[in-house]
Amino acid sequence: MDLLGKLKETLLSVLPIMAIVLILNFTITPLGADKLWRFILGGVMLILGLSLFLAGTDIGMVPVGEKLGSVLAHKRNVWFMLTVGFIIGFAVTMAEPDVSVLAGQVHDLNPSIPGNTLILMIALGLGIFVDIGLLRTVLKVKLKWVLFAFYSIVFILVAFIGQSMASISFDASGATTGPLAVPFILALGLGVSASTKDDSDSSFGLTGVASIGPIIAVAFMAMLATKSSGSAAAAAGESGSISFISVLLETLGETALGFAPLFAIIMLLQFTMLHFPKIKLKNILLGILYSFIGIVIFLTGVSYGFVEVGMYLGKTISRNFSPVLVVVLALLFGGIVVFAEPAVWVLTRQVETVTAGRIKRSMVMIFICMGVAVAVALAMVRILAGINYLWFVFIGVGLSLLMTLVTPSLFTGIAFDSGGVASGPMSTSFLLSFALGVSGTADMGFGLVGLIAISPLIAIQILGIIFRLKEKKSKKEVRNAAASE
Amino acid sequence: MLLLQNNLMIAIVNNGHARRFVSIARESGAGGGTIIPAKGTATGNFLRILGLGDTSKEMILMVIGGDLAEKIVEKVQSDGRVKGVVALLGSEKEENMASKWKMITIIVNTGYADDIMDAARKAGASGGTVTHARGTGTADDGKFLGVEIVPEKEMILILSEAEKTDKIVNAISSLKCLDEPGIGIIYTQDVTDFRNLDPKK
Repeated sequence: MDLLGKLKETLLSVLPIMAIVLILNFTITPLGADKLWRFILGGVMLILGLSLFLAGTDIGMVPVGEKLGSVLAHKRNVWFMLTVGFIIGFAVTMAEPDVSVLAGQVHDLNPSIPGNTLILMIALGLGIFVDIGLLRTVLKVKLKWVLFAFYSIVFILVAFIGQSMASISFDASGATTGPLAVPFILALGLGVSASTKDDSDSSFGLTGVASIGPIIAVAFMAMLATKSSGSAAAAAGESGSISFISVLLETLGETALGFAPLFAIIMLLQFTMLHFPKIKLKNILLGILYSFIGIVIFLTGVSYGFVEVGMYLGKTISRNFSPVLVVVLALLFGGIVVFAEPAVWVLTRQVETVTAGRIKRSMVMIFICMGVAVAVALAMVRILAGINYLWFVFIGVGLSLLMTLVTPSLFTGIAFDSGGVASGPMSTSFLLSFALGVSGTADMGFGLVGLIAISPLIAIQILGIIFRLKEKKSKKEVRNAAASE
Repeated sequence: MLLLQNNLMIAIVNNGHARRFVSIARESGAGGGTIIPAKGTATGNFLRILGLGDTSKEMILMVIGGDLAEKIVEKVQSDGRVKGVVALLGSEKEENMASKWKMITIIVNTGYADDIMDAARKAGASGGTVTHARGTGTADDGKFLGVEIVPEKEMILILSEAEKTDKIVNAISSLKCLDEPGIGIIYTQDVTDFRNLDPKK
């Protein structure tokens, strides 16, 4: 049965991070009984929630997104497709809990930017870029040219707004493509491209293009807003002991608020254009219910057990031990935490399905892990050495754009999709708190999520280039064998 | 006459077991196979009601010579690591031996597999395997911004005892949601042999 298999997989992906924290607990940074128990409970909830969520997206969100994409392509009406694509991109973003959290943090940093306007702008940005991504698929424009064009705009904008807002705008893009939006946007892109004959080249990339939207939207906001230096006071204060029930209720409320509009849209679509038959519909509704329960359990576990531990570890280790240890730990945490990121699982499975097993999920996973590990380590170096964030963005994104010229286009798509995907609730909670703990101020902590989002762009494209070289080699061997016969 | 003795062997195994199966078959002398990702639907009632009954499977297609099938199945069984079933289609065995099993194939527009499996089960089928495919020739084909649009399909394979086959086919084709022109096709084939790959006790 698949649910058991999923449980086993998620168990394997959450256990390493728990093991490391436990080892730290018994060696250099004792957490104390209270934090330790909460961490363990949180870990168990992570495993259960993630398994349920994954089982749910398989039978719920993914079929809906795919069918919707295919119906949109079959209508053969561009305006209709763009309208529906925009509405869905917009609604899903408004629903994503990470976005409202981010908007709150930004408001604290620069009070001249109202939180609600920011959410609206991010959602608008995502909606528009979902459309751009869909148009690209149907018009068969090469993904790399679209990326070149829009990232050039991003570079120009970012150069004007200074590093603190720049880091926020990249964070915004990472936050938008969370566990709620990714299965849906991914499946939408797959659905549209599956109905157009050449498949795998255009199957991926929609999430990647969509995640440019929030960067541009936030950068615009920053340019328009009157520049106030903003008191970058530490939002990193230690909240007292929080009760389990209140965390659960808060998460439940936020998630329900997010799911409600999405659910309403899906039902509306069911009666107007999807028309799933009876039993399929029942399974889809069950699937959505499972994802909902799963994500509530997951998020509760994260914020109840992991946030405080992350911050505590960051603070204690950076004060008492050498910076080298901080960077090494960051490398370790970065690589391991991604395994527990729900959206990464959804993406890598889609990759395996679409390529009919040619590209193994474990391979994509490993490369994303390596990328994120390096990114988190670099982020720590940045915090400890105070390097300007813009350098990382220019070099990172610039390099990955140049790589698109030699990477097979399928891998470019997967790479830019995994960018947004790698930065989900685990990195925004555990890793971000670790970084905040290390830096002590909120200002420097920003940008971590953005860096995590940039790293897979390079890592997966390296995988793509390796793949291409291998294929060339095996083709040559076949040819040589044929020649010698 | 050598060609006639080739059979199509279809194996449906648990996810990840296909490679092992193919390598064992190669050792026994088969040429090679094609592996297709698929979804199995045969599990307990309780999970099905919860909507969690589907499992990932792999389907292997192989064309092999007449007596090779027996050898492969025996080897796989004694290896014991591959879980799944094997069906042999194609050239008829002895005329007088009517086959006890049939394979029903349904090819429909995407999204109907769950409902079809439900109907089939009520008519006595034990389970089925679903894969994704793409159609080529319906009125639905056409161009959209210069791109050809083709319908996505689901292909469903059901192995059933010969006497139940008619009932299952009728149950599926009388489904209300399939009451649309051009939605899909259904056909049956004789299965010359059908085996479980579980190790012999």
